[in-house]
Amino acid sequence: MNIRISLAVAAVLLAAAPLANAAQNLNKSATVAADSSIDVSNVRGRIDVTAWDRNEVELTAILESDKDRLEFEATERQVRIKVVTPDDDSGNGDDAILTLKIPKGARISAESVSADITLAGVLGEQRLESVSGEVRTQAYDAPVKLSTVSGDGTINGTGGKAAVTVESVSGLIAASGIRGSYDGEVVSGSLTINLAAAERLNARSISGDIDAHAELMPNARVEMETVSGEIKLTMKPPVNAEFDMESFSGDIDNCFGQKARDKSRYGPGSELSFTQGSGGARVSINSLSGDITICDH
Amino acid sequence: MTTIPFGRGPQKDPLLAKASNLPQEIAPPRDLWPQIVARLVAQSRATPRRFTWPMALAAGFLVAAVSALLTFGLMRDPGTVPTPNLIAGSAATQAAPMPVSYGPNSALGAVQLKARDELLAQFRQRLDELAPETREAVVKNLAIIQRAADEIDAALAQDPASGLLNGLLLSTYQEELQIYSKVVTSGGALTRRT
Amino acid sequence: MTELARDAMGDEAERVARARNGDVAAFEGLYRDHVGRVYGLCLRMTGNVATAEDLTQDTFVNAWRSLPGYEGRSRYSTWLHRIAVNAVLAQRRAPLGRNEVSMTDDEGGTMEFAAEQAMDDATPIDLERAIAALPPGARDIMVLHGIYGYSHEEAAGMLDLAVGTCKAQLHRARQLMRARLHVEQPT
Repeated sequence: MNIRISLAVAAVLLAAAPLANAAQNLNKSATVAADSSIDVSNVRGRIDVTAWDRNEVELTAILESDKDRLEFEATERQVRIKVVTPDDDSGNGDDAILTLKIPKGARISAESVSADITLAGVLGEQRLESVSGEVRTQAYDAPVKLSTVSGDGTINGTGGKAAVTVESVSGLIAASGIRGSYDGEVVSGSLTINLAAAERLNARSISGDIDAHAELMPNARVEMETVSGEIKLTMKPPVNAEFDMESFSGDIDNCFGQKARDKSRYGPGSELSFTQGSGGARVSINSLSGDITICDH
Repeated sequence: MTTIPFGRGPQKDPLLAKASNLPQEIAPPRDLWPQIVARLVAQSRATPRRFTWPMALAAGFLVAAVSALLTFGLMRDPGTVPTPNLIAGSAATQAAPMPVSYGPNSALGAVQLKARDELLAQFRQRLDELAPETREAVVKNLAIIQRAADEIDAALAQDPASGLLNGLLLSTYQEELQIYSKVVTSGGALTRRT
Repeated sequence: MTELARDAMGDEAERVARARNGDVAAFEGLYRDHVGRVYGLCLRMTGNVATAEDLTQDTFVNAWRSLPGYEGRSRYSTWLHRIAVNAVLAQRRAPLGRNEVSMTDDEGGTMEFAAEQAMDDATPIDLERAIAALPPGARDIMVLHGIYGYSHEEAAGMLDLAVGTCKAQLHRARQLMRARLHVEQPT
């Protein structure tokens, strides 16, 4: 191949090659109050947050696309971090990886479209939202709210009294090791709950299954409801509770020796109401066609 | 600023005069109305819910049902849905079952249905901006909600005063709104493009 | 959509009456008209954008629930502000978790204002910053009395404090602000 042709080929190749997509590596930090608020927002990639003892926020960001922009604004009480994608962003697949260290007492609000969100050691209030990313966190004593459209979620409690709130459309959300109060709803996803020292347990689904293990306190209030999903409630013995359960066309099963009866001789629906042990806690479970099962083992 | 003699009335204090000139109105960074509406609907759920439908609430629902039936008439026929700001959207969006149709036995008040109108226009717009697989998941779940609404409606035909069924109906409607509200507000990373 | 809510629906009293009867469109009109003042108050009292958004939502949700009790004796915006102040105070009182740090900061320290919201060309940034740097008690009265023009009696009622305490807090606020602004703007 003579030089002229090879140069022409080279020119064509260079013209056709996309601009080298230089990844951006950015480091930011700020001194903040121990109980400051952190807001972080990303589109694709990851948000990884760990807590430390320093009154500082430290961010390491890797933006795979040179067209994305990182915004970082900090005052002593508030830090806002945002990955901004260009208007014509059509899912080109470039991730932004945000690795964050925050004071352990800070409260955090993290949101993403598809970026996975992972937190560890954050003691302050957490509000975590993702459309389709996976969300994983630890719960201590401050409220945790987790919300997704299709992303899955895991909340690992550490025995603290965090009030946990979960909302998802189709995600599978598991919460365990938490105490006190839980409120969750899904459409077709599923809820897996392990709640100690339960005072409030609310769980609702349209078609998703709900599987709850709970240790009922004497003043516990449990309300569970589904249209067509399955509800299973396993309670730590001894069980002292009033049960009120009704289903239009689903089965109501239990291991306390009670039998559901027809709501009316002529109409549809069955119900089961009884008191187990000395009562105290109140459990109400309803379904349209989903089966209900309660037991103490 | 020079030192201000102590003892002057507050109206003469230049500091307070300046403070009173600060803008009283500050616009929030995003529209909070969709989430407020979703919470208003959640509040309207009847509580506590035992198995006898409180008579007063039943009467209220019957009254609302009359006007609701008119709305249902519109809702059941997509061609006449009055959504002036409707953006045509993708084929997937157009095929999606929204808004969910609640049948003739399902008494949802005009208040609650009006709340849905507010969210729908914004929702359609945002839905098109989602990744295809996420959009599919949302559409699929709206279909699940439609199925639930149909099953509840069929059950209501047999037992219209059932507290259980009416409670499930409200919950189902609330889940529908939640989907819209989630899509509208949880794409924050997208909506705040500059 | 908001135009429909805002078009000739009569004056505010009519809107309030309709909202009381469950008219969501009327309530949205009231929301659009008043959200700026409610958010402005929440933002200055808390100094935090996310918290102010949450509290603004709480305010309107509570207002809807309390509408039957609104008798028109005070202006609607004043009534809304009372609900907003209650929401702010309730949020401050929320029980702290085992490892959370108290948010009271009695000497003000060097808190800065979350700048992005109030900052347009016409806003005296230094004044907003000085107010945001005040300790909570002094800040509350400076916001209610200084910015929003409530009398000592009205502000005391909203904050559930004695009028004398409010006046003392205002005096403290002015002292702290003068010290800070004098340092930054020597003349």
